[in-house]
This record gives sequence, C-alpha cells and structure tokens, in this order.
Amino acid sequence: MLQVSSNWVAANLKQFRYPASLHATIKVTPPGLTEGLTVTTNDTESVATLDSLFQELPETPTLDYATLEHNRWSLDGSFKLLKNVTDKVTPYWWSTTTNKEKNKIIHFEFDKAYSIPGVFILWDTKLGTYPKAISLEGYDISGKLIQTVNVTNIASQETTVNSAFDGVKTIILNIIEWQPLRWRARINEIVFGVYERYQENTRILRASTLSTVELNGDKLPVHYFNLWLKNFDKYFDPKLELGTAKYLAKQQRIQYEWGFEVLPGVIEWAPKQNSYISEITIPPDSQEVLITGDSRLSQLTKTFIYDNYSIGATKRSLRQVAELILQNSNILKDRPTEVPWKLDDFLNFSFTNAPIPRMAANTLLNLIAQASNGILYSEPIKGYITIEPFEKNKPATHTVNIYQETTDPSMELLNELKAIYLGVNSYSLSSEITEIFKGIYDLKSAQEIQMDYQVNYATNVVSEITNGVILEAEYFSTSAVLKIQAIDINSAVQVILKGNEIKRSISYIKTFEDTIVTSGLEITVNNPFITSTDNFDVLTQTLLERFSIRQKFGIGYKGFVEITPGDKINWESVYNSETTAIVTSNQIDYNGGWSGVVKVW
Amino acid sequence: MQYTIPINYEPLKRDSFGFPIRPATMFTMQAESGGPIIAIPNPDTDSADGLIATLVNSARNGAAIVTAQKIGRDQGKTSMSWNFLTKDEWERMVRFWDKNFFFKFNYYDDVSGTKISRLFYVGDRTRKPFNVDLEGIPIAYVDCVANVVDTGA
Repeated sequence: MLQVSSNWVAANLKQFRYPASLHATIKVTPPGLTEGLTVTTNDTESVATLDSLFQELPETPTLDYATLEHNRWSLDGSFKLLKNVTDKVTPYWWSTTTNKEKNKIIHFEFDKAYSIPGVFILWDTKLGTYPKAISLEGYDISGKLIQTVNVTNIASQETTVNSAFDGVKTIILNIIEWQPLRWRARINEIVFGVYERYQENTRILRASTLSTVELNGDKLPVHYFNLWLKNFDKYFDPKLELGTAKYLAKQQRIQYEWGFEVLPGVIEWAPKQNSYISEITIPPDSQEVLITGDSRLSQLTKTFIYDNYSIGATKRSLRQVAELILQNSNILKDRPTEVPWKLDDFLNFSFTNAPIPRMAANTLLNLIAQASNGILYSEPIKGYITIEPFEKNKPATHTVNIYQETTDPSMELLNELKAIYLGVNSYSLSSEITEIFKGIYDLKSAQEIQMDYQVNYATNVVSEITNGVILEAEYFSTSAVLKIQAIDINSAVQVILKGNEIKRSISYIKTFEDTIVTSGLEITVNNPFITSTDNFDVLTQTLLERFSIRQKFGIGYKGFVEITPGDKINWESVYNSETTAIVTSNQIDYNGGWSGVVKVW
Repeated sequence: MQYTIPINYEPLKRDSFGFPIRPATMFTMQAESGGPIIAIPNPDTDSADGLIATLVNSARNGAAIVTAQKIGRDQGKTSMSWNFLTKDEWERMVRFWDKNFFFKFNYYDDVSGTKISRLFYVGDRTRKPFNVDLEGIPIAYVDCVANVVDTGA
C-alpha cells in the first residue's frame, strides 16, 4: 500500500469526496547521456567530487557540513562536521570560496554529441543561495563554440535554461559571482535537459494507471501509467522537430504524484512514483497527446546470455542467479551507482543446478520468483524490482464494500483443481562434441557478433573460422560473442562453433490429486530453475491454497490510488458477504476525480 | 422616497453620435499574456446571469446510493446582454475576442466576496445593427449578447 495518512483513507471512504489532483514531471534528458561523461573544473581544491553529481543518488534530506563562510554555520546541530580534512562532500559539488575576480568554471564533456532541450541547475538548497549570473557555452564535436547562453539576475535556488543545445559534445558552465559574496558555490543537482512539469489545471487532461501482480508466476506483472496532455496550442510538435517533442524519448523518467483534498482546502500528497516512458503518441490531427510509461521490470527486455556454467559446479542460490541477471541487464537507473532492485534474503535458501536459459531478463526473474515460491513485482514508489515471499497473513488494508462499489462485480470461475504436477529438471553433459553454430558473414570491418547456439546449452565451446581473425571471444552457456575481422573483405567469413551440448530433461511429479474431481484444472509447473524437490511441499501448498479459491472478481469502484497489487482488502458485494481477498490488479482512471476497477482473488 | 445618488456618480458620457456610453465597472478582460485591460460595459439589469457549476464524477453504489467525487473547482459562466451599445463599445469587445478566445476575466465572485481573475473563453456573440450610415456601416448595435465561460484553469 502507498503510504498515505489516515485522513486520506477516511476521506476516500466518504460518500462525497473532494477533488483529486495529479502532478507529473518528465525528466527530458537523452537517455545514457551521463554514461561516459567527464567533468573537470578550474576549482581544483573544491570540497567535493564532481563525478558524484552524476554517479550517486542524492540523500534525503540534504546533509550539510559546517564551513567557515561568514554567517553560514548555524550552531543549532543541523550541520555535520567532516571527519577528515580530505573528506569530500558527495553527491554534491562545493567550490572553494568565491570572489568577484575569478569565475568558477566547470567542463562537462560527453562521450558523443547530444541534443538537449536545456539545462536545469539546483544550487544551494540548505540555505537557498545561488549565483548572480552564469553562462553556458556549448561546443560541437570539433571543439567549435556553437552556442552561448547568459543567465543574469538569477533570483532563486533553481535555474532553468530553456535554450536548446543541439549537437554539443562539451558544455562549459561559468559561475559568475556568488551571492552572498565569498561563499562557496554549491550545486545540488544539474540536469542536461529540462523538467517538464504538468498539472491537472494546466495541461493534464486525464490519466490512468494499471498495476498487477501474478500470484503463481505464469505471467509478468505490469505497471502502466498513461498520461493524456492537451495539445490545442500544438505545444507538442507532431513532426518531432520543434520544442519539447523533439527531445522526448523512451526510457525517460516520469515521476507522478497523486493529491487529494482530504478536508476542504487541505490537500495531501501521496509519495511520488516513478515510471519510464515506453510510448509517445502525438497525432497530427488530434488535440491531445498520450505519453505512456511502464516499469523498470517491463523494460527489462534484454536477452540474458552471460552465464558461465559448468556441469558439476557448486549449486547456486537463486539470489546469486538473480543478481547475475540483473547486473548484466539493461535495467534503468537514475544514477549509475543506483541498485534498483530488492531481493529478499529468502532467495539465499533456494538453490539450483541449472544453467540460465537464453531469455529476456524479466522472464528469468519471474521464473526465479516462481521457483522460490515468492512473488515478483515493481515496488510502487521508486519502481525497484522486488522478489520477496508472499506474506500470507498480512492484514487487510482497505474495505471495498457496496458503498464503494459502483458496478456489480464480474466473476471468473476457475475449474476445480484436479492435480498439480511439478517438473524437476536435470542437466547432463553430452560426451560428443557437435557443431552448435554455423554462420557466414560479409564483413567490411571488425564486427562484434553474438552467436546463439542451435542447442539450449553448451560448454567447452571452441570456434573454427575461415577467412577471418578472432580479435576477442567470450563463450557463454547459451551464446558466444566474437569480435571478428575478415582477412579478405571481398570474401565471406565462416564461423563454426563446436562444443559439448548440455541436455535438459524434465520429470513431472504429481504432488497433488483430487480423485473425486473427474475433470478439472491440472496445473503443470515447468520451470528450468527447479532442479530438486526441496521446495515441492511449499510450492504445492501455495498452489493448493491459491487454486482452492475458484472465483476471481473484478469490482468497479470509486478508485483508491493507495491500493497496490499484493495488498489484501476486505470486500463484499451483492453476491457475497464480507471476505478477505488478495488484490491482483488495481486500475485507476483520473479525470479530476478517481474511479477504478480492482481485481481480487 | 428619497432617491439616493451613488457616491461615485458621474454624468452619463456620450459618443460622437450622442449615444450614451454605459458605465463599465463590473467586468474587465485582458489577454492571457497581459497587455491592455478592456472594461466591459455593464450589461442590462435583467441580464448578467451567473451560473456556478459543480462538476462531479458520480455513480450509484451497490446499495443504490449516490456516491460522487467533485472534479476540480466550481466553475462560473456569465451571460451578458445589452439592449444598446455604441459602435466602439461593441466592436472593442469583439475585436478583443477575435484575438483572444481564452482571456483573463475579472469579475466579482460571490463565493469569495472579492473580485477575482480567471481564465475564461467566449461563446457565441450576437447583435443587430441599430442603424447604418451612408456607407452602410453600423453606427450602434442593439440586442447584443455574449456569454463567457470559466475554463476551470
């Protein structure tokens, strides 16, 4: 459940509710821009590490350290002391003390040329100080100055430069005269892009969210955020050539927060939630624009191939397997040092002898959750990928009864459970060396090529190459990555990979049968990570408890944004008296007020 | 009965044709981006209808009881009519609305008890020419009507 106050929960239950609000902010910056960014300054003795501005996540609340600037160090205990004189203040940047004669200059060099819609700088948030003026210079890939923007008469701790910098590889920031004079220049945050902020009384038309969790792991959970914005004034260019539309891109972060007038004139805000752009629709003939965001988990689609597996190796915990997958994935991070996942310790107690299949990372994580008898979901605030045991005995957080329902519930009736079959896998090494891949390429220059084996898994892989030289090679259990250069670029290069196939065999064990049921639901679990029967009892028990509840319901109701899938609610309807059920889906529609559909099992 | 003269009474002004110019104390409007403030002539005493609209999402719950959530704030609509306006009075307004479909409308709000400005838009406008000069150009207008509606912003 999203953390909201008891006033919020109580106000939501009232027959007549006051309006809801929505604020959404998109961080419009080129994805990947800060990777390969080099930052230097003329202020070589500053009490900070410039890299940390882009590497580490800022702390909340902002810590401040005591310094001897005139009238800054307040002896109220709110300032910390640096333990050593060589300590650095991270993840912020503080200069040495400023003066009128010499500007503080910071060079930002990207790994390639980028087009950015502007620059956002958050200065000193502890005491709200800022420079009198700054200038930003943009240089192209050849080092030529192509743009200068001067910002004078700065009057707040936030500076937004809305001038676009197109095709810049280097940006130089000149900080001209701090206020108060001789204080240190401080930067809390700098974004090469802009924050586009939308509110319900300006550009937001409506919005919807859909969050789900899968209790038996047969599908991936989802989390969508759809935002419709008005475009009567063509603020968003359908040709994507002008304005903000030019810089919007997939994977940019949308942060949204729900507000609710819990008492007349008193608006409370739920915690901000993260989503990442997956679709941008700007029709030329429409007056509204749709931006869709989904979760880090949904965007974790890169196929995992990086397993180095050998038969007979020590079995791995499912936590080790999950971490290996996540560390070699395309998981979205707000800063490079962020670890955007939470793997519960219970994963340390489930083991596997299996190699990791060649599948999308999110599919693999779902299989791990299933094999360990846990659940996989996106944590609702930061969107961290989470695997944890399902808390069976947690209390219900909400009541959805006939006073909150706006439609009669829909029902899906499952067949009676007849049997459960759990598959246990074994992996054996073929003694025979066979050809597992063959490819022919026309290469005009050195190329890195991923070669997926024609078998599921292999080991002891070697390569044979004709008309080519292997510059680099990595052999994994499902694929190989070779960097190859042709000897004669006018002839084809042939690559053959050979190795020992690792064969998978699966045996199904019937762990439950209801002999009274003549024709019913037979559940089969085919999970490549299950290599022993250690977890069979708990897996069977979980499936029994789940599928003994044959009804799944969908309930149209007033819409409570704080309910998250996996929560338990008490609910009743015209068809049933009050009962406790698990929320498997919560859909919210917003048009200034909320309505929704919650699905329970 | 003693007739009381308003404290800030001024004699009626007239245009070049001698037609009376109405006081303009109730409403003003201004472009969204700022600029000159246009005073709207006070409408007829039997017009200036004000509407306060409360928008809600509503439905009947499982007990057939209405449950609702207010959407946004209450929004206003003002209908104005003038039985007679000088040429300048009417044309100044329609020219403004021609360039400013959305505009800042300043009016007395009975809920807050003060004059406020909100973003409004203008609906259909109707009028009839009072008479025309030798070149067929109206010299004044009658039965003028315009409605302005709160956008909710």
